[in-house]
Amino acid sequence: MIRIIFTLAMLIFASIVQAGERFITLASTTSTQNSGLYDYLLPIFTGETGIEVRVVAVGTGQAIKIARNGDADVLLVHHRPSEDAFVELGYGIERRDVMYNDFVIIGPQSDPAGVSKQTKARDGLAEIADNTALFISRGDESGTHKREKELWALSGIFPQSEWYREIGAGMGAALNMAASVDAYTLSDRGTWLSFGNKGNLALLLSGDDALFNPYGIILVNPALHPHAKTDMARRFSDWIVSDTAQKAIGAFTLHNMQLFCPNAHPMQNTDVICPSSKPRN
Amino acid sequence: MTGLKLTDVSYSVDGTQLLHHINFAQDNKGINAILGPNGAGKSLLLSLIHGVIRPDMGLVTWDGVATHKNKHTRGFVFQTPIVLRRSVRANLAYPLKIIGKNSSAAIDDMLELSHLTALADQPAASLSGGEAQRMAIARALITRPTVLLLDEPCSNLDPASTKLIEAMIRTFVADSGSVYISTHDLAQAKRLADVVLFIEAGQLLEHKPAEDFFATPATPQARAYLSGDL
Amino acid sequence: MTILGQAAELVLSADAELIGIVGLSLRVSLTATLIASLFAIPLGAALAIWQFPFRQILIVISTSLMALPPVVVGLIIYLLLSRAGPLGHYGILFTPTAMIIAQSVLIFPIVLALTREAILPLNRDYKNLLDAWDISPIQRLKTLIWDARFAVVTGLLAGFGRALAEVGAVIIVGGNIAGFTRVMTTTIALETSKGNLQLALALGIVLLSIAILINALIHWIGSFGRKYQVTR
Repeated sequence: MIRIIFTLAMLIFASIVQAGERFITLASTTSTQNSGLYDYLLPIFTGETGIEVRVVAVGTGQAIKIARNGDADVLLVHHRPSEDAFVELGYGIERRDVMYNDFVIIGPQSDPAGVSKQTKARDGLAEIADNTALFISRGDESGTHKREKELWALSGIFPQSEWYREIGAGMGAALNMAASVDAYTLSDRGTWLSFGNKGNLALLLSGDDALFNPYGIILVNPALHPHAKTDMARRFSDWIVSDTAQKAIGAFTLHNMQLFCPNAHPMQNTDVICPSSKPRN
Repeated sequence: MTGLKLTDVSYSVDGTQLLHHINFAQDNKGINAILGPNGAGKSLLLSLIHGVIRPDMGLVTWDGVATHKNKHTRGFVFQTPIVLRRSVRANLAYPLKIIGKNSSAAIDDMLELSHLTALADQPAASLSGGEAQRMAIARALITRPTVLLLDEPCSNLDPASTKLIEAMIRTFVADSGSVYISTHDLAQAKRLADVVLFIEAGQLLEHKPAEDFFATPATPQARAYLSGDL
Repeated sequence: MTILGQAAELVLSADAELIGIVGLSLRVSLTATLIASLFAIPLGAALAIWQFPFRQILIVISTSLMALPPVVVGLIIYLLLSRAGPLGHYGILFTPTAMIIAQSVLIFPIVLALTREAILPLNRDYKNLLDAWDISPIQRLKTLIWDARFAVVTGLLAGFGRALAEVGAVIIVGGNIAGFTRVMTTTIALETSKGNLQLALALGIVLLSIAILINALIHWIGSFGRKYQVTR
């Protein structure tokens, strides 16, 4: 009886453990994952190369930690200072620009703080603080959270009061909460566009240069992590900056809106309509 | 050295001595009744004899072999029958399995002897008290032991059930088995016993043929017990 | 109400991806339950039957472990399996194997405690009888586990239910990788975070249906087992 159970367990175990060796692990951000970009982009790469890409989508901060521990082969995130530090400290190699979109300030349609009248992100945030309107902060050291803190610093305000709520969760959770309590929050455009539970929320402020949100790809340093599948990871990195992939990124839309602008070779992409706020035909 | 031998056996629990220096030897034959008032140590003595518990002092042997070995050469039956949560048939099969045997013929024989053939596939838990005790005796006998130990087997049963059980005991003895039975029921002791072991307050006071014991009890305690004053 | 309707529609039109997610959930949680049971059932039975050194400590520890939040289990397994951790060179972080390990750890104390609880009263019933036979410890263990099997299986299913329903451990050690380590609960978390509440709810309904099925099974097994129990 016990022997039967054991054999059965081992069989099931074995059937799960066996898996293709031709895969790489990509540590990335929820913003790219939630937008559906990977579901669209990765099958193209896998089709061309036979390499499966397994995406672990977390906040930028955590993604960087995963890559630093060697638990991923390649990193695709959106916080330039952290990315540069990652390479400088020797954890990663060959950083490349891939694409960008922008951050947007989201809030209730009624906009009690009058954020939509502002054009600068820092002024928008200052209005929220002045009116002590509810603001939901990711509080999870993600790329968006880091950018949010930088924007508060620009506005000269240190947000620390009842109206400022750090929830320690992902973008979706922050938007869900903002929708249910009529609060403001900072989101990346991709997540906002693909978010399905907008409720009374609306996009109130965008277009400020300070809201520019570039994504970069970095290979995990094989000198530090010899097990890293650098060859396959580099093929992915090479591919994502190739014309094929860059065009595909530019062509990716959701609800008829372009979500990301390719910028691996900014000079060559002049025909792509960016910033991404404009509808495409 | 055949049969049961107790040499200076004492037993205590939490510092209270419950059995005092018990010595006796008894051949493997007939029905031995262990008599004595409540709390005299009858059940304890049976457990020691079977080797379920070990004495603090002294030695219990069967045919010269320490008692905690070869337990399957004896069958043990409790006052309240303990049933395995299985069918009647599976209850009887269990002791055979322990000693690595499997004989459906033996099980069928035992079912018949205990008048349980019709109930063979019922859950043992659904049996009445008398049926369960019969099953317990059948289960104790299934490994063909030479000795049967019974701890007040009929104390909770009606006369009809008692009669069936006594019949099972007699059949076993007729088949050259020997029996140790503790009982409160003097009438039952008179019906069954060849030899009486009378204990009181943890001491073995009399050990003699049953007729002698009932006709001429030697100790005042035994006389008081038989007259219902102890 | 419309969300419920849409959810039902999604369940009924179960596509390959959904089936794959449900299948992986069941496979991971079932395997974890079997592995945990392999160790927890004999140990739980031993704890009920015998006195031995550190027994009380073991009982206290295992009971406390039942209160361990899945994320903590996930975190511990994550740190062990990470390339930077002691078991890193096996490279099983972000695989179903890692999820199975985490869930096994999570279920172990539950199956252990429930097995012990199932065997305790049975051992009280059986002890004298089994003592009267020359029975090896292994035979005793097997007998008690077998005769308490209905209650033991109930514990097993409780563990399975917990594994199937937890999200904290699998999302950390599995990474919620699409088509590879994405299970029902992590998909629900993901779809909720994407604001796709109806899809999240649809998966919740699937999960609920499985839970109902498991509980019906527990109930049925229990009533079957009672037949053999002494009621006196």
